[in-house]
Formats: sequence, C-alpha cells, structure tokens
Amino acid sequence: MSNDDNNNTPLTLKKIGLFLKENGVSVQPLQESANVVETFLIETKQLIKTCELLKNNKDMKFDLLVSISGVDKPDENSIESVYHLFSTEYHHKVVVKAKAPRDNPVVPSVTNLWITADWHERETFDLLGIKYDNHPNMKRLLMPDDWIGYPLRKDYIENDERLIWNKR
Amino acid sequence: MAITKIIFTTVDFFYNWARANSIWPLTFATSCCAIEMMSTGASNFDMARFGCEVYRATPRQSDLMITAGTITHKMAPAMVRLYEQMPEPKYVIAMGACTITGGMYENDSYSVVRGVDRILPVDVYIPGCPPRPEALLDGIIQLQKKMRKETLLDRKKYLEAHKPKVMLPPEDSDILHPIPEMEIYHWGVQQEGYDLTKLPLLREK
Repeated sequence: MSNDDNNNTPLTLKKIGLFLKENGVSVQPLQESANVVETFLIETKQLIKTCELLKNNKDMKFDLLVSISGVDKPDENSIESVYHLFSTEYHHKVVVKAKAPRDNPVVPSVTNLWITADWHERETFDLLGIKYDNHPNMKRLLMPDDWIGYPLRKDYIENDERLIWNKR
Repeated sequence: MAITKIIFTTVDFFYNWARANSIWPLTFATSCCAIEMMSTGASNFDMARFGCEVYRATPRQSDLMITAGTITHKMAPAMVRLYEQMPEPKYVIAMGACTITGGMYENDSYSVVRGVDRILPVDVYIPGCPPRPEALLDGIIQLQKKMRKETLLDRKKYLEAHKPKVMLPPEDSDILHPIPEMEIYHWGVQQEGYDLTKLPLLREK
C-alpha cells in the first residue's frame, strides 16, 4: 500500500484544501485514501458552508454526491460523517469528514444541496444514529421504525423485543 | 359411519387431485432465491409440467407461498399479512438456507429472522443456497404428495396447524408477538446437549 510509505511525511493541503482555506474554512488534512483522493476533516459548524463552496464554485463544481457514510470511533468518543464528492465536469474527487460527539451526534443535513443525500442520511441515521439537522424526513430506512438501538455502533447490544424469535 | 368414510374417501380423492394439480403460488420473493424461482417457472424447467401452473400477483387467489429469500424483521409483518390474506387451504414452502435457519446470517445478524418457521407454519423445507430449480420442483412434488394424503375430515386439525405462529401487531406498532400457547419447534444446530431421541419431531407425526 502506498499509504504506508507516506506515514512519515507530514500531511499537506493540496488544491482543494488550499481553496477551502482561502475561503475561510478551517481544514485539517488527513491521510489520503490510495494516495489519490484528497481527504480532510472540517468543523461541523462549517459543513454547509464548505459544501456550498465545493458545489457552486466554478473551479470545483462537485455536482455529484457519491455517498454519505458514517464511522463510529469509541476511542475518540466521536462519530464521523463522511462525504464522498465527485465532479462530473472536472472529474476530480474529494472526501470530506465532519465529527460529532458520540452521545448526541448532530450534523447539518446537505439535502438542500444534493437531493441524493436524503436516503444516504436516513441510512446513516438508521445504522449509526447520527441525527441530521433540517432533514425533511428523518426516519429509519432499513430497520423497522420502532427498532431499539443503532446496529452498527461498536457497543450495540441486541435488546429489541423482536429478537425473542431468534432464541434457541 | 362407514358409509360417510367411503363417501369422503371418494370426495377427498377428487378434491385433492384437483387441488394438488393446480397449485397457484404467490409471487413473493425477497432475494436471490427468486432468480431460481423464476427460472423454475420459465421454459427450461417449466413448473407447469407438474401442475404448479401460474404465479398470482395477489394473495387472494393463491394457495402456496414460496418464501424465496431472506426475511428481515422489517419484512416479517408484511409477510404475515400476506399469509393471512391467502384463502384456505394454504401452504408454505421455505426455500433456501435463509428461510430455514437464517443461513449465513445465522450467527450475529441484527436484521434477519432466523428461519421463517418462527413465524409461519412451513410444510416443505428446501435446503440450498440457493436451491437448484430441480430442488424446488422436488419440493413442489413433495407438497403435492402431502396434499393428496389430506382429508376433509381433518379440517379442524388442518386449521389449527396452519395458523401463523405470531400475532399481527396493533396498528401503531411493528412488533409481532409469538402466540404463547403454541410451541415452536426449532431445528437447532447450535445448542449443545440436544437429545434428539426425546425431541418430538414434527415430520414423524
């Protein structure tokens, strides 16, 4: 993996990161995935601003939201919401991460910018419990509506009433 | 008494002959077993040769539910609803590993029901992941054999055996509750110390 080679070199901002920094977003570069895609962490307060910049600026034009996913990190007591963006005009990609505290994770929704975000955010809410602010329909997507707990969290305990079917 | 039995035997023969040779399955399939089910219905394997003619898109017109595919907790209430909407007499075939024990989701999945027999009465089990179309054909032939042995005199017993094993939820909830007085038989593969000689086997009855 090329990632191992890069572990010692300090992380620096590249084109997209520098662009965001110029526009007043505090960007923290992270290890790039496969040495190709720029990855950085931003403050959750500035998520909407960042996404608007990335979508509407004529040099960026990230018009396609590829996916929204979540990462549960109990060691750091935080949950990350991960956005993969792609520009169909310039063919460049970027990964943006936003952190939220683990006991009450709230992240602003980006459904106003990309309508694709609707179901992606519902799925992330369903499995990891990240609540997206201003989402039009923040309900569970894959599990039943009244399910107890968020299954993909590291400390998930199966305690739903329905699981009595599974006992032997 | 003897005369009634003779009459019923004759009636049963024709009644069962008609029933068993025109099974109408419900179009109900949730995952990859559905591909094999479609293949069974198509011309290469042609389920119609054995009198399992036509897939109905509504439960009101079907006799058989082939649960082809993984049943999740979210799907389970819908499946029970469909089963209850089917007219009597109705049958269930559990097709594939997922509907028998949960299959590869058996150990630590949060979303999969460990076998459809927890919630519905199953008549024929077809193992495989997914089963070949020949296996489904064999399962249907086994079901036809079972249907030919039934008699109208056993109707009460039949109705008792073909109740769903869970109760449908109230309107505001999704949770299905097991019927407490109905014992559910589990074909356990993991529990230790399973004395098979003392276990009442459903199939031998």
